[in-house]
Amino acid sequence: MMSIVARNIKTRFLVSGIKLRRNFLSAPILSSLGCADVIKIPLFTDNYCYLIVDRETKHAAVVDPGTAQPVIKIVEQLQRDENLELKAILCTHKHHDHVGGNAELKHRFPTAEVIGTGYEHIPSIDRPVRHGDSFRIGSLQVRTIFTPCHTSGHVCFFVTSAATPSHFKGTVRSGEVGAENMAPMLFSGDTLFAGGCGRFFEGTGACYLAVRASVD
Amino acid sequence: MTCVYVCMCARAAEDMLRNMDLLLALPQSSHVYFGHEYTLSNLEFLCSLAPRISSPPLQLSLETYLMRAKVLRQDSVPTAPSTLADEMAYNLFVKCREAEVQRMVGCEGDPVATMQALRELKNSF
Repeated sequence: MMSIVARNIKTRFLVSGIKLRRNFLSAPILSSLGCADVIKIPLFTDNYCYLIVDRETKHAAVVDPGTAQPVIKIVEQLQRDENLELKAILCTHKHHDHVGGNAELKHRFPTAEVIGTGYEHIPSIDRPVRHGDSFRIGSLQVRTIFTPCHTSGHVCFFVTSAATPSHFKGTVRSGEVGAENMAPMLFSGDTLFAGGCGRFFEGTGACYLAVRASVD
Repeated sequence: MTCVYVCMCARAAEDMLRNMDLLLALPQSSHVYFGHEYTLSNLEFLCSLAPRISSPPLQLSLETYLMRAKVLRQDSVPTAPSTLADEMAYNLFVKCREAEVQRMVGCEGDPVATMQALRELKNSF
């Protein structure tokens, strides 16, 4: 079952994809697989920025907007067509290809809050978050996981909906999230890739000891 | 200086190993949305280690995921999202605590050294 947002987005982007620039990806693409709709927005040569849309409230958050214009275009379209509200700009780490669009996005959408790692400088930050901190985007719960190494302050964001409890600790069983379209989502930035992990630009081991002390 | 450099690299590998432990404790069904389309080159690197792999299931997993990535990228389709279950099946960087992966890089019994060795091999691939 696809939400209204999903149906309209899917049609529009499949059509408009033909016209967009030749790039490593021709058009933003929607995924309705998990507990929220996610629009994948290609940036630069191989970056992905993501727009998370809560199906229940139409509140949205953009993750790692390395540049603003492609995001502005999509958000404006969805504001008109779906009454989408951009509530947050989430930043996993300080690298420019992940935060370069922050200032312009905030200027264009003044009610959107920049929420990012509290362990290193993030441009235009409103709310620095640390390991274990959580916040809401509409009915979605977002949990912060500190994963230093690629940068000393890198975090990941783990997203669940009210219908999927946040299994932050505890045993893992496959298939524990039973309902279709309700799987949780992990925004892993440059820490975990499909088939790889980020380069160790700023790992020191000291971060590991500090967090282990705080989590234990 | 060499000792300091090696020590710092090992400590960075400790950080990344701990990151993988934390992320892999999340539900396996979690969809993983990552920051870059590196999947095909990541898989090409992992498959280059094939001569070192003794387990047929792991070899088959790698070949299957490589083929899947090639098909997707031929049409410029994003390989994101993956799932944690998928990554646990074939991503050697999240399997550094497994004896087979440690043996592949000559670091049996040492998950930190395994992570470091894999990263260095990838850096020079």
